[in-house]
Amino acid sequence: MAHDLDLARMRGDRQARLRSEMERRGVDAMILTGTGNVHYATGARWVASEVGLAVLEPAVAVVTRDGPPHLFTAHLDGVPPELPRDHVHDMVMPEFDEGAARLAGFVADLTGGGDVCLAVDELSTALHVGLPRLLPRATVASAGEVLGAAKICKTADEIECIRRAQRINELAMYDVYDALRPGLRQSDLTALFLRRIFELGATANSIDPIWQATPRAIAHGPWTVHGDVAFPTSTTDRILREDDLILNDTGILYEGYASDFGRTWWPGRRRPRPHERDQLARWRAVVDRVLAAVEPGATGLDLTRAAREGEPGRKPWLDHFYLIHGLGTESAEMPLIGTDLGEQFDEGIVLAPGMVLVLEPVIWDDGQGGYRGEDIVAVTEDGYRMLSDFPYMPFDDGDDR
Amino acid sequence: MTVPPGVGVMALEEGGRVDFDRLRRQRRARVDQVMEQLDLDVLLLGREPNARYATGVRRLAVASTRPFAPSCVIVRATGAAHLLSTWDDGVPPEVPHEDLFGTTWNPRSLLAALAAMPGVAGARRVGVDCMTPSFARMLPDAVPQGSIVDAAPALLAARMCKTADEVACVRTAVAITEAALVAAVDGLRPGVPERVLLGRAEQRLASMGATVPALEGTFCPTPPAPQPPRRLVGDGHVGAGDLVALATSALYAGYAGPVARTWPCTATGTRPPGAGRDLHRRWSALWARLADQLRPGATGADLRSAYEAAGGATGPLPFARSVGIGYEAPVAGSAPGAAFDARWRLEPGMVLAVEGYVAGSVGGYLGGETVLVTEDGHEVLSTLSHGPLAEGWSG
Repeated sequence: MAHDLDLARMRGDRQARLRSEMERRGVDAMILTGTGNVHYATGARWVASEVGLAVLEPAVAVVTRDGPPHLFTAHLDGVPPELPRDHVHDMVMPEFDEGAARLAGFVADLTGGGDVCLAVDELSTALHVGLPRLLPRATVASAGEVLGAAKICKTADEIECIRRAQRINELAMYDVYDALRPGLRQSDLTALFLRRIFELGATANSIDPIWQATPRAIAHGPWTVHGDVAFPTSTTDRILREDDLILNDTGILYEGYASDFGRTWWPGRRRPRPHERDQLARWRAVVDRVLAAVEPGATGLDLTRAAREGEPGRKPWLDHFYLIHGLGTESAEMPLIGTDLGEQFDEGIVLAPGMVLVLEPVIWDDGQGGYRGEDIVAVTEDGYRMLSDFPYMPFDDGDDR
Repeated sequence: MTVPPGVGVMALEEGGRVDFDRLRRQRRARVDQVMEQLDLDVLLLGREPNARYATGVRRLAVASTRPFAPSCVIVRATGAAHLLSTWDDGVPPEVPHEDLFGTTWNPRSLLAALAAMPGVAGARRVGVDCMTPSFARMLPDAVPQGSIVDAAPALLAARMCKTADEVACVRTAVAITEAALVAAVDGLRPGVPERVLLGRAEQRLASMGATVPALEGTFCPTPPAPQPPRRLVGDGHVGAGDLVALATSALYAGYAGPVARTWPCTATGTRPPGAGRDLHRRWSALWARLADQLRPGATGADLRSAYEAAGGATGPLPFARSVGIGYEAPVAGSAPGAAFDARWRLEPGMVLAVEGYVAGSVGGYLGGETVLVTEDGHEVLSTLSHGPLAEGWSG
């Protein structure tokens, strides 16, 4: 059923969550510069850019426990309409001493400059060096806990944004799949994908689309520090060959919310071989077992155990990643389940309604390749709801293109 | 004497366009000079452009900031550059496997990896380019005697003057950007959605192998003065008679090449209105004043004075930026004002993106070029026509 998306309500709900988490943790003010964090706190948009520019001409948020956030931006056309004009300020550049001094002075004015707890997500060196002098009585803490706690459970509006982002992403990937032929370059697939996502209403592309031609044996490279499969490696103009095993991974933004798409394809053949059909069946068995365990109150450890029961033997996810990650204003955020933080960490993650889980198991038979895919669910009161909906061709029954 | 091969993305067996081995060697030498100058034992780089500059590592690109991690660690005593990379794909051959460290979610493991790098544990002076509160707390565990030194300004200064190979990369990026703008121009017609123009431009960038733009860009009708130009592509459509700002930037081997133009959206065979051509004349006069200051010795403040004297509208974005691996510095026109701009003095080898905007009752003209500062002036690296609004247009 169509959800009646209300962006102003969504932003208001997020700001209320931030204020309540600040209150709970004794944080008086926050300076946020990370793009996903600024978007979460303010709802502002800007011209998406590669990481170097995102740092230099940033949007910056200053959040206190009362009232709307303050936004420093050069993009007035990206300011949410409900944000009061006196909360919108000229762009500030915390990379430079002038910017650091202006931000610190602003926080001092807002808070009275006394013994405040100031949380930050990241510090330019100008801020790191300057804050002890500019705000001598402030305690500087990490904003990670406040943001993590506020972001982890999504409202219905946030989930709708993720669903729309995923829909746009999937529609574009149907076109890429249809176009895929031996002899196309990875960059050709990117070209088609980018044109389609913007036509379909994406607000931005968020990662360099990945079309990794993956050797079927780890020994054939790329070399890895841990001996597991290398993924994801960057796209080039590599020419895709008939039987290349293509692990793809794409992500876009819709109103600041990320999608996450992953499937495994080949450019040539239309029909799977028996072992490929078997790899997909095993991948789906892992997903089905994990999903059967998804409900409020289940722990991350319950989910990794379910996955391992579905695929006895090799751990069914990549060693440097996770079985599951969250999705929101970052393309991978909490909850992270199955990481090198270990079982105790996973056990501490308790599922709750509103969490969004990207399941990304990997089935690998070294020498014969494998299957990687990503499916997305939102945790509900009594289980889960699918947010992704893309078929598993050509690993299932193939197709007739 | 060999004829220069122009710009392109094909491999040329005779050697060709950019010598990437030399490019990396010369950049690394500049980073080593910074370490020398600041007397650093160790340099911890968390900013991707700095890590890329220092080593040439080609990691997965994202259109957002990344959570901080020291993703490149350079040790002066050993000369090693340790890179955060779980695999060797995208890693230059001069970085051996034993100098790679893998992705971890556990800060303690990251610290242990740091401490295990030869020469790190005993370091006294540790240069950084960004920081988080938790990393600042943990760092003494890995480097007990280390004091933190702000290396960001020195790295920026080192990056701003380009080698010949870097300039060749920027030239290539500019040419690819121009191709993308032409693709957008070819899609201009009354009723076309802004996002279709953006899609056409990005498709063209990627089809030339530049799969990651420096900037997604602006494909928006300009509003009448005194409103500032819109920068964000939205749900709007282009109307007949609109003056449409078209601006984007490709990345080639990490280097940006921004170009901006304004094209009228007119029905085929119709001449653009005289008011639009007046705007371009005003823009040309503004550019002439800026061009006088685009020479060694001039400062960002000189550029700002020229811009204001010509009646250009400054702010809130800088109108002149240093260009390299992404953007590097806001040279003129940013919020901190003329005193801030005065700190940037032009030198031969600097590359700037310079943009001018003038507006009137029918909309505005946004035009931007990428220029190389030379020994006695500058060279405009962008060559794309200013289109139907310019004098003498015969397209």
